[in-house]
Amino acid sequence: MSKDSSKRDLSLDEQLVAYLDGELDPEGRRHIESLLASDPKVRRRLQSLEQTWDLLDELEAAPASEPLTRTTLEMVALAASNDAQQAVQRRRSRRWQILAALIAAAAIGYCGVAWLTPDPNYQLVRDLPILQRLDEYRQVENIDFLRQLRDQGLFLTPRNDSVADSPRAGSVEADRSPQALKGMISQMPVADKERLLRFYDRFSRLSEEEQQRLRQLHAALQHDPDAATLQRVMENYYDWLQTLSAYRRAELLDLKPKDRLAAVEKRWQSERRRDGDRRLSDKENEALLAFLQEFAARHESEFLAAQSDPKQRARLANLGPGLRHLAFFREVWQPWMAAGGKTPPPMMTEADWGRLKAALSPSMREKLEKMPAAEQWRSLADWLRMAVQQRAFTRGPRSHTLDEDQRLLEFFEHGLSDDERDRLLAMPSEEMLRQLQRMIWYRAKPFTAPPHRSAPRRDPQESPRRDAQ
Amino acid sequence: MPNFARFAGISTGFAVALSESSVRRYAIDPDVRLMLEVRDDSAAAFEELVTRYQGRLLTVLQHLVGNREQAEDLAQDVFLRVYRARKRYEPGAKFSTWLFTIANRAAINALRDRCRRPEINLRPSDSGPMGPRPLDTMLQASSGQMPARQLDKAEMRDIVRMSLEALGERQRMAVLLSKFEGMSYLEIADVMEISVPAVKSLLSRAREHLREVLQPYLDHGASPTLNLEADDE
Repeated sequence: MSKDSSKRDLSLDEQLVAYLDGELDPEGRRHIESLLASDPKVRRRLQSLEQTWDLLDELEAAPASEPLTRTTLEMVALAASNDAQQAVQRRRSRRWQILAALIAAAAIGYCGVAWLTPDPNYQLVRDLPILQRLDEYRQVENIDFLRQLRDQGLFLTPRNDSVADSPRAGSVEADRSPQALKGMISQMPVADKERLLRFYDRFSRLSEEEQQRLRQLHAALQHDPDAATLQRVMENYYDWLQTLSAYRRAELLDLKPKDRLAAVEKRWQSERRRDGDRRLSDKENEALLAFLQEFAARHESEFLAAQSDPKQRARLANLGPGLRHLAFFREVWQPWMAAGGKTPPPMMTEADWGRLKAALSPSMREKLEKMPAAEQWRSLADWLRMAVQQRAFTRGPRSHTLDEDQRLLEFFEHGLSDDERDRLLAMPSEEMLRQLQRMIWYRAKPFTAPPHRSAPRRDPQESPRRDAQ
Repeated sequence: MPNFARFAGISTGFAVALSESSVRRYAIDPDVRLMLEVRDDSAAAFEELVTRYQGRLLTVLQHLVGNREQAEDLAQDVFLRVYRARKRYEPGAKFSTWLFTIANRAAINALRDRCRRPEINLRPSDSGPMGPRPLDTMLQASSGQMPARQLDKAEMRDIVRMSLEALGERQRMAVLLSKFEGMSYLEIADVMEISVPAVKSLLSRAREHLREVLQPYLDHGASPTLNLEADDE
């Protein structure tokens, strides 16, 4: 093909494509149509361009899922509230600067500016130990509540995973000097700093009274002769709360401290009776999840061979290892778990069973081996379900994080009237969560100044429900 | 500014005077009206826009970056940018044109970032369910070097997807806006911040490339034994 003809073809292609796209002016259109009428090669060319373009219809649309839309809205709401907070801080900061400059010019002099400018890190450093345990502290009224939990023998068990061996991530000793704390903050990885900042923002948004309550609780805890035990009770209590559904948790936290204490004890005891000593540790849960992954890799070819539809088989074989593992889990383990482990798990060999038992602690392994075979499978199904649920709760990339959950609870506790809370509590838990998230979104008024509760923005979708009741 | 008019039907807090041409524009495009409500701090309007556009945005972004997860992150980033830019929004174009302009910038930045990271494959042709260098495989097929066999719908879709991924980013974006969003050359030019002739050239080269790769599959389905050189002359 000569250079000229190539150039001509390119230009002709441009015209043909523009013709197909309806982008030619009348003259250009007439020109192409006369070419088409006279030249079969041009006709074939146009047809070929059109047909191959139509093949793009094979490409799938990517519909947005409801959770994605929800997380998008939540993310923007959160960013909006952070922006608003920062704007307020900037405005405040500007006001202080102007004031300081005026005073300095009038009387005190230039050196007064330095004296008057507040250290923005002061509060952060002062409250650092509280910020790092904000979630735990927020669930506890006062030190007496912890003492009562301890005195009733609740939540005393030492934590049985690696976390128990070290202080909670980022925890600090009470007697560290502000300089040492500043140094520690500056050495933190960026992710930890961002996390700290999020906690700081949340703390700053609490009422002055609530901030003071948390400081008092922290001080009381630090000075209690049994501080270590009470701290463990608080951590275990918090962890236990996270194992409850949002609905149950909200129900519990809504009670007065005395009633809550009774309800906590009742629920905790009934769980103990139900689970006995068959609850796995976090470490064992992790080991079970790792076992699932290894199992999928070991039995991959068997799994693919079991696919009766060759197209499905080819598609699965083409997936990346992560997605293939997920498909394996969905098709092999989930149905088995859903059936309650009434039969031995599919594809499980003696060697697999040995590996799985090796992942358990010696005492748990011994207990398992003493059970009848059918009971062993049932226990395994329960454990796997709990391990997967726990992973989804704490690690899922788009599931609720503890932070988000905390935000929901705070809103539930302080952002609603009694009637609204009652109405939410009457709903099934999933529906309640959805409704709560919608209410946060509408009430947060992310684009405006913080709202007055007396005039909440109405969720238009709430109306029919309200009317119906 | 002459001919001021206030558009009725927008929330009561909306007190910005608008030209008649703007009024006509967003009377035609209801999403412009929604966006003006967002500018006026309506959370409900924002939710409506997200609901309306997230799927469309995801479709374009997913085919542009070739990865669902990254496309979701990008789509969320785009809506965050829309929210942050809401006070600067002027109803000067269709809302979708404005949205996809933001999306285009975000995607270009993301693709550039990806280029800077050595651990991520830069060439779309190096990845995908067909294994390494599928474009080579496709060209083999188009030159008749591959054994004949029937292609099913899923494979056809993979081939179409990879032929799209083999295009340059700008060509790919122009194709996606034209195909999925049905945008005119002028709108694509606005979104991509280039001239109309540049769009014409991009789309022409992209479609020629797609034709080269896909025509053998179309002609012979299972057994591409001829190439189309003869047709070119």
